[in-house]
Amino acid sequence: MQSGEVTRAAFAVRGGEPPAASVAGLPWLLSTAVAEPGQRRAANVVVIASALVFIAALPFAKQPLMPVWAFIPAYQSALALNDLITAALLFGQFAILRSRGLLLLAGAYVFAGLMAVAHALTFPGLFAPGGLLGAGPQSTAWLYMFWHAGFPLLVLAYALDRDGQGNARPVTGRTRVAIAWSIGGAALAATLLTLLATSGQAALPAIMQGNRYTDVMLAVVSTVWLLSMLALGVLWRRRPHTVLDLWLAVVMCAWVFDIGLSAVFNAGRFDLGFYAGRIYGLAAASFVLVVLLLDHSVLYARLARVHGREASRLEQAQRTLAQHRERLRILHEIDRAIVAQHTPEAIAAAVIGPLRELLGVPRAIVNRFDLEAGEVEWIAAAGRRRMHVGPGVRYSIRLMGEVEALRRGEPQRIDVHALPHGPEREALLASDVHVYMVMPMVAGGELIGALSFGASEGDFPPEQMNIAQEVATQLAIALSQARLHERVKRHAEELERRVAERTADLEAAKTALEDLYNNAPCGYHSVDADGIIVRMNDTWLAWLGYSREEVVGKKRHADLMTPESAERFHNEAFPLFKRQGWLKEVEFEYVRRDGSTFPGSLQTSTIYDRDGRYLMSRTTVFDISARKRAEAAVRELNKELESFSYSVSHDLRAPLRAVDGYARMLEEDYRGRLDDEGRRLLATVRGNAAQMARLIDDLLAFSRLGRKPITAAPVDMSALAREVAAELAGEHPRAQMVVGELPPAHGDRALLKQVWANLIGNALKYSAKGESPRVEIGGRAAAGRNEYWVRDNGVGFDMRYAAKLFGVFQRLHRAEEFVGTGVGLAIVQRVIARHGGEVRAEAKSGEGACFSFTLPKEEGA
Amino acid sequence: MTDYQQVEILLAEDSPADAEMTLRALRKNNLANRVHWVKDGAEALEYVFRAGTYAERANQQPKLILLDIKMPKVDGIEVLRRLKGDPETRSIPVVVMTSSNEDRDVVESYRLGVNSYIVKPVAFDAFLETVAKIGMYWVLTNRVPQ
Repeated sequence: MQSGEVTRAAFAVRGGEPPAASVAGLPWLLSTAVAEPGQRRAANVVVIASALVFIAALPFAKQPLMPVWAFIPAYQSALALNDLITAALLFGQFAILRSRGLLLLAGAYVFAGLMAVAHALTFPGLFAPGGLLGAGPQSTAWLYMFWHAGFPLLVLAYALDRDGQGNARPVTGRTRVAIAWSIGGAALAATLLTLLATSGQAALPAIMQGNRYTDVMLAVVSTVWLLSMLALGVLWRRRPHTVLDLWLAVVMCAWVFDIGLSAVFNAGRFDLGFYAGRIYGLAAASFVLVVLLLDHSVLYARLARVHGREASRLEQAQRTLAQHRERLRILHEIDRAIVAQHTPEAIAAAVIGPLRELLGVPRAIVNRFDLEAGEVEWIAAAGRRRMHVGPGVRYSIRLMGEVEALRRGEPQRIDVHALPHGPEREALLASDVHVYMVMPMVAGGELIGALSFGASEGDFPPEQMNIAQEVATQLAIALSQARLHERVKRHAEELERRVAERTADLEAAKTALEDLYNNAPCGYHSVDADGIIVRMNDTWLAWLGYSREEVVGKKRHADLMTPESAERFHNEAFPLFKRQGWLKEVEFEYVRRDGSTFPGSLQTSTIYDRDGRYLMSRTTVFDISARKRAEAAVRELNKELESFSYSVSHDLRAPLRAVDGYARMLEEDYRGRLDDEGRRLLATVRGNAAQMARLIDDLLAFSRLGRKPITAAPVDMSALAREVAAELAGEHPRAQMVVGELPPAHGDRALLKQVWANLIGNALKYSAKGESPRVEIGGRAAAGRNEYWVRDNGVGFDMRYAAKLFGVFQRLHRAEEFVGTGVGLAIVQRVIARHGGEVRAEAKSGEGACFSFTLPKEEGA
Repeated sequence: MTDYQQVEILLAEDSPADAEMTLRALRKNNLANRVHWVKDGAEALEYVFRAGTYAERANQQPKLILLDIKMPKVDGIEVLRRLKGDPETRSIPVVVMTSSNEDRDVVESYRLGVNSYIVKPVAFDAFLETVAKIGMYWVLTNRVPQ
């Protein structure tokens, strides 16, 4: 990934933050690439050639030549230019690598370039007789020494500036600042040294005598020469050798030859050594430059190659991208169809055309499987020219290959030639399809259908298979979703239909209910918490003569009553209703719209909401005019009946008394003249009169029962029964009477006493003729009622006539056997019935009887 | 008619049979000589308040009035009301003797201040005994303010 490294390095230049690890990781840069054998060989050849030329030139070093003054500025200019260009290129490498060594080296070249210029300017006799810059006779020579000592020293610093691993030390801080420091340092050193060599030459020992060297010169030049050799040695020891190191070594070699020829082995200026040394100096300045330039062209060529490669790769990527985009578009199409809840046909139709093009096949079909029928149906098919959408074409599932394999999700490759002969096979071959692929569509483990596409020959590339599989998977989901959606829709329709049915039923029920409500034979209404009537049925409105609008939401219940009734409603009924939540049979006088009045009986209870709070009342009102009239009639009748029975009571008894009285008087007054027969006849008259009197008494008592209102109160039944038993005991001394513990009753004491008297009296009467008459009185509490009984061991009666027992004047015994009128049990029956209880009799002829009655436990409860 | 001065019992009774039987009962106890019998309520009132045919009667009230309720012209209840409503006659003991056993007559009679209420027994023996007891008690035993 070289291109990546380049990008990062370039970034580092701009950002000024070099990643240290990458410095050693740029093997293709001159300053970091390890020298290859070929380069070493080239360097060796150059060094050896230079050495040979040096050795060849050595003997003639002192041979004087023509002083060519122009040589000095020409070669010095080239030298300075070469050095500065080399410095610039090295600064360029430094900008990438940020190695301190490179900075020192670049500085060395700047220094060398500047010193070359200073040297040329101070050369005596060149631009001025003594040289420019105030130079003296020694200046140029010293400058040469400083120049040729300074450069190796800096190379030495470059070579030594390594860490333990031999890696260059990085420079922190901004690149430009570092470069400026380097150039500034070099310029300052050059300036100071030039000043020392010119203005300060007096302080320096003389090394030149005219154009000849002095003795001091020997020591100075030896030192300078040694520095170059030292730099060469250190460079050589430095491993591994980079290409830059290699060529710097060559430069130092040339430097050694330069100094050797131009300052050690020659005699003075303008001899052969002087010229040859200068040539070496120029060569030394050029080696690194040339190598750097070559390196740059190599790098450029490499960049061009890389760029070319990247461009073709980009083109390939764009093609793939386009294909992916198309794939995504188709998948998106399917997704959209799912979201839009299209039918399976619509989804398939939207997809099939683009899919065929994407696959690059002549024909593609979306098939739906009907596994039960063993058939396949086209949903959509696309060819090069035509497209078929919608179901209709069906053929055998055998054309889809192995169904079990499809179910497992394995695509089937079908060779048309291997198919059995038939119209399908012929049709396929006719449309140039010789082989086709069946890609199963499986969703939720269910094989829904398959995507099939044909080709004229050959294999199906993996890319094509991938696309087909992807689309098949998506289509399977889409179709299964669509099918599900259709099912849900059908279900929803069914639900809607059922809801409609129920609603109609409810409507009908509601109508029926409303009809019942409105046409009930009583008034219905409800009042809200504020007492306002919130609804009222038609019957009630018709009775009152109001329209619904006049009442509902406007009137209160009491507004419909006479002032007296309204007052009673406010003072008594309504407070009671608020207290207990209901009212029963409270009568009020209502006022019709036309001002006439009628009596009504009110019943009301409360409708509570779910939280148990009062919602509204549920009130019924009955028109009781008819009842009131009937009651009045009954009262009238009762009055008549009363006067009738009063007359009966008085007028029927008086003659009877006379009959008895006069018979008695006859008996008394004519005692002596009446024989036995006469007395018997009189006794019969009196007996019948007495029977008649009893009948009248009982009948009156019975009729009184119906009219007399019951005054109910708690009654101690044990005490009452004992009292009656004690009263009757006198008449039946032989009878044994047992009174048990009886539950208390709630009723009319006088009437209940009559009941006990009749029952106990009967029991005594019918058992009196037995050997040991016994009457047992008992009772017990049962659920909601109390039961009482009187049992005797008398003659009993035949149960076949039990039903007759409680009728008025009904008797089961003849009068000669037991006296009685046949009213006693009728009275019992009537009293108990009026108390809300029941009477029962059980007996067996000759084995005694048991009469029992029940009473409700608490009146009104 | 017996001497007015001797009347100790006033019998108001419209039924001759009942009257005869009552008198017979009183006679057996030697009380019949001092009985005056009036045949309806109007006559009873005339007697007590000395009006009409009794205007000349001596001012001496009977010791007991036996009063039937159901009588022509003025019934016994009305007579009772007049007797007990007048301070002059209020203290005369009145015993209602009637065939009626109706509660309302009993209640009304007592409300008006009757001294006793007797239902005439149908049986003659019982009737005799009852009348005898009443006569003996109210005429011989009871004492009234003079």
